[in-house]
Amino acid sequence: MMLGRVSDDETQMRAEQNGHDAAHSSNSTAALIHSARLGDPAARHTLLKRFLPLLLRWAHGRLPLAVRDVNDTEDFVQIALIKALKQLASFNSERPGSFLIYLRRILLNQVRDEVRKRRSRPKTVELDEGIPEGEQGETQLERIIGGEQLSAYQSAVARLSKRQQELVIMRLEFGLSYPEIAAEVCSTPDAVRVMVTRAVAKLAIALDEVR
Amino acid sequence: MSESSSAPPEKATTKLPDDAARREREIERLAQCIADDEPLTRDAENAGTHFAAFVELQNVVNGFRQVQQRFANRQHAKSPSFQFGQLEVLDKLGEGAQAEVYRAYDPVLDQCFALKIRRIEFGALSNDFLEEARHLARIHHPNVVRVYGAANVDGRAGLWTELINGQSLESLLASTPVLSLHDAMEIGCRLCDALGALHTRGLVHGDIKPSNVMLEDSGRVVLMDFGAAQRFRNSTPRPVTLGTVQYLAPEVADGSPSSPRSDIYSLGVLLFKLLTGVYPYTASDFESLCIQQSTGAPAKLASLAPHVPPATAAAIDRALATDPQRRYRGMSAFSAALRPHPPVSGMLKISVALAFLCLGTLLATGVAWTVRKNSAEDSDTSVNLVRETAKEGRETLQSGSILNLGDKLAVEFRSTYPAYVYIFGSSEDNKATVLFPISGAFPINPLAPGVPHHIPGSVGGQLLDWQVVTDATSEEVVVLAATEPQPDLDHEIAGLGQANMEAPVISTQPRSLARLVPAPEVLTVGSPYLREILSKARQSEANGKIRVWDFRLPHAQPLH
Repeated sequence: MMLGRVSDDETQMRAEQNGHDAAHSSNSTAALIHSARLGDPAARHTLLKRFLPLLLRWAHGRLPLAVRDVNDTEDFVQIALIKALKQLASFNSERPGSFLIYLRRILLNQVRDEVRKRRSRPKTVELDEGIPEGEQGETQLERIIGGEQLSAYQSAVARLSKRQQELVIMRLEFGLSYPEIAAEVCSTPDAVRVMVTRAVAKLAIALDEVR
Repeated sequence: MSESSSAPPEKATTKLPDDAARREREIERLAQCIADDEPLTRDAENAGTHFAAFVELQNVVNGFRQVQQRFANRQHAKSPSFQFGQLEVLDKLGEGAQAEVYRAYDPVLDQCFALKIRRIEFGALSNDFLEEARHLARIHHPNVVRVYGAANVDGRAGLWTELINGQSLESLLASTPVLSLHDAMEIGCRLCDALGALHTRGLVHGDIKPSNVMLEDSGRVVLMDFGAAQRFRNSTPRPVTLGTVQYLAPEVADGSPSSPRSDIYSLGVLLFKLLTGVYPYTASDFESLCIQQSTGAPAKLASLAPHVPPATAAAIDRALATDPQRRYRGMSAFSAALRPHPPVSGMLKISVALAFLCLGTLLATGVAWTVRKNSAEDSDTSVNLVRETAKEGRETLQSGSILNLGDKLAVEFRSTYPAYVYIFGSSEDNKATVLFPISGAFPINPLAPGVPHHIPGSVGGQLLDWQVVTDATSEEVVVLAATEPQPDLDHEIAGLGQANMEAPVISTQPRSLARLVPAPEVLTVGSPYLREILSKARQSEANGKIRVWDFRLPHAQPLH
């Protein structure tokens, strides 16, 4: 079972970090990534604690409706996050604030794999009884927003600069506050608000173009 | 960071031509609304501002927020305290003498509610307790808490209502003992509206006090706790302990049953407290209060709060009259007296650019409607019927405009006075539909003066439109704007079908909206159903000044 593997990993990490959390909890994400790359398990654990709730909330509506149990979602996201943290060497930190987007990209790829799997699943496989067969692969976001609108939004986001993509995703998708984003990108809340507003303006124009 | 150090938007746009600069500013304003999670509002001119894209973007963001909220609900539901029927009871929100209130999650509806469960030790029968649910179920009003269900589970009676995100007026008063005149009047007028809706149904609240008034984060005022509510006709007195001492009307303290006038008294006490921080009588226990009420007059508001306009102070003093016959007859009169209407003409000049804006005399079912002829110089109301298009943004509908199935419509409204707006639609062969006000949607009446309003408004920050979804051969839409509340119309609305809000856009029954009526001196509303509704708002002094716009729009190519 997926949860079992996660628990083992968690147990090992908790044993390793052994009280170093307090020292790491106030560190910047960049400093934690640096320590984690040097093999500090406590830094890795602090990163896990910092980003798991955000990614859980983000992934909740993006998984197929058939994977709707809360525990399933947690397993899925935890595994993706732990894998990402083990591959920190491949993360190219372009600027402060890009780590969350890096994690989102990894998770998004896994979500897409999961959606593909659900959509191509043979009909003989047992399906969730509560969800119509044709909607087993549909996600909650698609149901609420509409597949076309969501796809247009994603295309529009892709037209923005990397920095603007990060700002838009942190504010609109993750729902981070301006002070939270400021802490991630090493800026001030006021400056972040201006930057987000400009990014949103460009996003709307891009949305008009892709429709 | 590069973005933060660049020139501010104002500087960047100063070299652009006026139109381009205005568009830039409008785009920035709309982007700010999205970034700040605020509802989108329109400026009068939005051509070239990608407004439709902003609306689409807001829909997407609202979707993100909904999913996040659902996830939070599910996280809560992972550790329920106990089960009440289909509800998973999560945590206790509060408790009173009769009942305990919990946050409860309904996994079927994927939504949290406020569940009120009767205390086992409370003596009243379950049936009496559930009477509150029956009372609430009869009321559909934006300022009255909405009930979702009631049940007896394992011998315990419970009812569940919408969960209000906000704080009680009582907790606000704990931190701010005296409110501003504006805030107090806003709360007072909303409560007048809510109580007026109750009284219209033959009910009285019977326990008006700060802990029974919730202030939602969005600004909505919600009247709660109908445990003491009862029918005022043929009602018998209840033990006075059900009420809260300082808010008890003298006649109720004497043992008479609650009545609309005792609710007016309680609301008067509440407003007195909001404006002064103290009660009109100094007594804190029931016996002393009875003595003070029978031997002396309450304190005069004007002496404790000289900043309150004399007319408003006099209105509250009148509500506190010991003799119920000296109080106002009804909530609408009290509301009107609380916030006397500012003079309409000359406050703000708005040009009448709309050909279909008609102010004349409306004849409806034998009732003469005197509506003043408007002019550009003294215009105080503007109404604009618009159609949303994906590519071209907002399109103002003119006489002869043809609508198609799926078209999204809205009314843009602006006035120089707080306006009570009602919009009804009727196809030629169908009964009337209430297009505005819509329960749960914002804005709510009265609409604030001096700012443009997109009607039907928004729900949870999501801007709504009416959508043409069914077939008909002709359509009539009537917009009514009044300077005073129209309780009879509110009553009528409760019995009519509302525009449906299940979909992201509101769906209305009409098929088409086409030819607009030019501004005649005399208007005759065609639909008998609309005539019947409008007859409820008879022109009288209590109803204030009323304006009516009638749009009759036959379809050019009926589908059948």
